[in-house]
Amino acid sequence: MSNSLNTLLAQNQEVILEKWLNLRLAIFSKQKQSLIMTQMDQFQNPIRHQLHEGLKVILENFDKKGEKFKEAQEQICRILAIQDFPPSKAIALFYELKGIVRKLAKKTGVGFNAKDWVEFNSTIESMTLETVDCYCAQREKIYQLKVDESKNKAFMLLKKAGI
Amino acid sequence: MSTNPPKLADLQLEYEQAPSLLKGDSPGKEWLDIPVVFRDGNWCHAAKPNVIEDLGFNNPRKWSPADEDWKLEEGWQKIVKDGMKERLDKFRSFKLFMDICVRCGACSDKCHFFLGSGDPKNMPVVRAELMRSVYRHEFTWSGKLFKGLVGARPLSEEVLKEWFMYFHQCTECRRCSVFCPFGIDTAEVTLMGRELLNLAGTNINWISEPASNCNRTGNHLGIEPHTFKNVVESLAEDIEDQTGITVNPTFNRKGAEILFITPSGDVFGDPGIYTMMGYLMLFEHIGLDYTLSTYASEGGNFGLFTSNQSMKKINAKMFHEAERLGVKWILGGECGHMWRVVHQYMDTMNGPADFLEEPVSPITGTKFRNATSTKMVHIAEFTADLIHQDKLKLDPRRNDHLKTTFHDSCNIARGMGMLEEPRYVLRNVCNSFNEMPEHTIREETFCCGSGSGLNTDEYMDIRMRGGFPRASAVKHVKDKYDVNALVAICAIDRASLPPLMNYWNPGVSVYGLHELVGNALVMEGENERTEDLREDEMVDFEPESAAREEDE
Repeated sequence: MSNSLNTLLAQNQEVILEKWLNLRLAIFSKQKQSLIMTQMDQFQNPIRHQLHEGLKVILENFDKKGEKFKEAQEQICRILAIQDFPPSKAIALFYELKGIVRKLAKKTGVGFNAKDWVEFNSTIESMTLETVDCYCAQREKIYQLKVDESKNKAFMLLKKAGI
Repeated sequence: MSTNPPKLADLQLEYEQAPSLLKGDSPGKEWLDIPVVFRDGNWCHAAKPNVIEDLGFNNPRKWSPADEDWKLEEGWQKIVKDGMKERLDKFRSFKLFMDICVRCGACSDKCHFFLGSGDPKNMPVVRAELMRSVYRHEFTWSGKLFKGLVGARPLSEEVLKEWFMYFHQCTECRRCSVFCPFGIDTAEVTLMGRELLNLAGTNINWISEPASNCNRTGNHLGIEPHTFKNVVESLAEDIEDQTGITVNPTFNRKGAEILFITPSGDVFGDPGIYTMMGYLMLFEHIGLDYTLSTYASEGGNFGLFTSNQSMKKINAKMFHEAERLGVKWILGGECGHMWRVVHQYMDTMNGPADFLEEPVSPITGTKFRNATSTKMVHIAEFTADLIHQDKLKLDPRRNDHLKTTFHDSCNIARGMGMLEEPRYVLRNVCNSFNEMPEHTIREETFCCGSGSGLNTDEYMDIRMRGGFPRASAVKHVKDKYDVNALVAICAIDRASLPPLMNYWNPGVSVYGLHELVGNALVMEGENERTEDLREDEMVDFEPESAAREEDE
């Protein structure tokens, strides 16, 4: 791991995860936070649990990415793609991470060099663009499910009609 | 501290200014006054005018929930209030449920729509409060006198829109009722809410059209008798192609011992048809004397989601047809709400069925005393008895390509208390059965999120939210045990869980219980089975002939 910011991120995963999760949950309207922020049981609050698990996997695999990272990104997008807030809020998750890392870096008092920041920003931007793809794929899936369901309901009639 | 009671104006001020989670992003507004917002994906299409005319409901017209003007008829408030009064007088449960809630909060985090969205109006207590507030205003002295101070409010168009939104975000699954110390059945509040919405002419098409179709042709899809017969025969041909076994279902045959009724989704829909193939193979295997009916061609009852009169009318065809055909008793297929209607309402609505006999299995001699009044036996009980009495030749290895888990359908588990029979059958027809976590199954099972007539495609966003708690429990066993098959005994589950799994847990397919029975049955004269009923390869399964060759 050559980038010092990535090292900072790897060394402070727990702190970052907590802050990041809270920021993610805060995008839900205040009315909804009565459940989402407070219930800790994984089956009684699947939104919180699965966001927590997804963000955790992303942090653990931030540097190397890979299949697990992609799956976690998909799972987070699934949760966000069917809620009430606009796409701009849903896909902002890596910008939130950038903010957290920036504050953490400032707190440490260590001077991180400009090259590292440029690299880190570039990673965040490319991850955000991937999130856009992923979010759109989930929305497209919703529409595909509608089409598939319409066909499946009358499967035998379509089959008999040779359609 | 003052010994005098606070002044009314002070109380009012405190009431308005006190912080409340439910007010959330709308400070200055009480939670009951926060308007609902209809956007694509969170509302169902309105019922078509011709459907409303067929059902004899009020105010048939073209409209959409997304329109600002719902084109309500003159005097609709009086119609709804009169309807509410009529129901309060008629149904003691409704009166009781309007009065007795103490807001203990035991139900609040039990609704799958609440857990999947966080929207507080999906807490069962708050959803019921949407109606209780109007009840207090119209029918209680405290409400008339103190109005907002006791949570009373008049019936307005905004309130009606809120009812429309939230009584269609309840699947009448009754999970909340399990936890209510008073036994308040929120499903019944929703039933009443939807009846009142019907009176105002605010119905949804996905519920109304199947109910109307049922009146006309006997099934939700509106399929006529010859097509029904033709499609079942086509499934019989598929069985013959795959297994070499000829099954000969009969239709409307007078003098048959048993009338078999199943949801039409099993006959027409994918993957329900494979469950239907399983039934037909089972009946052939045991030589059952049964007939199907092209009139009672639907076990489901969308009348349950429409009005009690509509439910009664649609249900009546089962007894009518059993009497006309002269059968001894009725065997019912895998369905959810059909069994709620049969188990809880049928006997008092359309019984007693004196013309039928107490059901006795012709194969094992077992008396189904639990069905003495309705004369109708659930197929899972029937098959569990056959297996228990060793009447079926089964090879569970034929389902070795499936790692299963079982979804308790709400109406079967909570509505009629059937928990063990389907599990017993499942354990005998497959080798890999993995339970989901304790608080997500049996009496506490999570709904599929699409029951009670909400499984329409325009509602997909809300369905994916409502089904998230169920999908989350499936994900748990998928990650832990590699589960790839979700087995359910409800036709709405078989229709609505596939998109739910496809969205949340790709790689998990949905199966009916008797589809797996059909896979596992070893039938006399069958072809060598290497594929299941979906024509998927039976992986890791060694056909008997290959095993014999190896031995030699």
